[in-house]
Amino acid sequence: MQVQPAVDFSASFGPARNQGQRSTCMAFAMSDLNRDAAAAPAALSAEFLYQTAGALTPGWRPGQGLRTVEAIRATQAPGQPLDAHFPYQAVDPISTDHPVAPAGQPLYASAFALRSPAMQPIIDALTRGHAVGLVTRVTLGLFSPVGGVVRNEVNVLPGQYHALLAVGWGTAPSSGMRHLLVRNSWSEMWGLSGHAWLPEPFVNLHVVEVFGR
Amino acid sequence: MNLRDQLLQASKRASAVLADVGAQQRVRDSGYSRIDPVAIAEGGGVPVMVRPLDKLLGAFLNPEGSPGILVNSQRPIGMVHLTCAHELGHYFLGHETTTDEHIEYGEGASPSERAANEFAYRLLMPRWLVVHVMKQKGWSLTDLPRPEVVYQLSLRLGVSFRAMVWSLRSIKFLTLPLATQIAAHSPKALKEAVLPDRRAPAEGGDVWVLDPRDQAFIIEPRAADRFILELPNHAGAGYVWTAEEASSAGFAIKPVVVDATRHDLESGPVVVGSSATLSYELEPSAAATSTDAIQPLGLTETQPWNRGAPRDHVGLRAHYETLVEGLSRGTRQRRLQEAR
Repeated sequence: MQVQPAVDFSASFGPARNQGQRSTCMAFAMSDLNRDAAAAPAALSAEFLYQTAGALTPGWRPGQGLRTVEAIRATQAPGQPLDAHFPYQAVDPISTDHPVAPAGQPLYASAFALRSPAMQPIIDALTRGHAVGLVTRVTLGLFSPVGGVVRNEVNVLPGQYHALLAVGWGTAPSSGMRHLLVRNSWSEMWGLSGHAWLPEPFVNLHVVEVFGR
Repeated sequence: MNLRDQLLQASKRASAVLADVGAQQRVRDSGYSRIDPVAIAEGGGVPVMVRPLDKLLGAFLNPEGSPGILVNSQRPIGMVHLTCAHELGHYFLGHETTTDEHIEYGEGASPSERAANEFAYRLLMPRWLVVHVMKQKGWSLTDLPRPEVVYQLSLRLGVSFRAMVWSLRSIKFLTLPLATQIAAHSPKALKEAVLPDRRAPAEGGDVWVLDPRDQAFIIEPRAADRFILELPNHAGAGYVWTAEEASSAGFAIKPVVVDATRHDLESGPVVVGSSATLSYELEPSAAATSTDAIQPLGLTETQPWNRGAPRDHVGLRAHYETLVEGLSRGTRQRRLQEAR
């Protein structure tokens, strides 16, 4: 392996999920973060969170992405049911109304906040055992990790942002460079079973928002 | 006949010529979006010679009842088309031999020149064709005050930007103040504004902004032209567009990217997920630009690591316009047939 893990709790989240063609990456990253923080017994409903956060966003239309701040609010109240009780859909909802929570099922909620987008605080949180949400610009290399590592590059697709969940960190033995291990929502076929390593220069340049406990 | 009647007659003659050649049906059935004045001249037995000229834009020659058209090849392609249509106006309106250093005739010009100009405008930019292209592109009258829309409209009709502006004015799609304001924009600046490197193509090349609505057309670019594709976007879900090998030989596309170290990209909270569209640059090979045939350009949006992912498809078509100096292609073929 090109990166030696120092912390890796990726296995505790189960197989990487697949958002399909929808703009729901934030809902997936936030759901897994909430699952970790709220000690939910299984995957939480990204669909419920997407619809709730969308309903909280002024002028939002189904199919559009989410802002981190509304996703945080939706996670705190009302929270989320399990994915099994409000399953993910292949297509976007028609309505912008708040979704109706499944009757008789618990909702899992957590209080998150925006955090410093610097490498060391992220590593500190991971070392404490806390997953960390990331919002990164989208590079072409992000589509095709090589050996499980996303290459560092300065060029980005303008106006494109993607949410990931940091679930570990490690160091490349050859260079000593620190990397974050991220869990994606682009299916298990992406990277290393749906995960990849982001090198520190990539994080420093392209991660624009960090959210978590 | 007074000037008003002459202009009216020129307009009607242009409409009649379009009807005779079945222009509306050709546009509707084939996907070509411009009227080809060279083809109309050739079809009417009027040879067209294209060559570099010092000062002249073009000429209508009619020695002893043997008509011919001369067009300066050293002008932008929209002007070449308009010049040919103007000279064709002299022919269809029964004028004598005439040479033209310019064809944007004002009120001081002779009635025959103004009539030929009216003919040219009505031939290349008839109201029904403007409406057809706008409808296919989803443009309404409220989009026309945007100079970049008028420029893209002009490309699909094969005319110059300014001719398009004044044609829109003449069919009352623009008010005079708006037309004056739009005509003041530089086509070069409009081209540069949409290109990532902000460099307008050399040799007066144009910049086409294409989107899935252009699937309705066969676009007719020239070798120096450049292309920006505005495509539906799911990059936040890991999807990117690529040119299909089987149906896009000679074309490649690449996403337009920006250097994050040189731009202030975020000014507040960002929307996480895909935006509605993403820009790609289309790059044709030299072989593609010199091919005289309709070339398909098939594009697929998929996840690079997952060829089995659901795919969206866009199919465009291009027929490069090659301007060969000398007798036009149709005229040469006709002469050869006559010699056999």
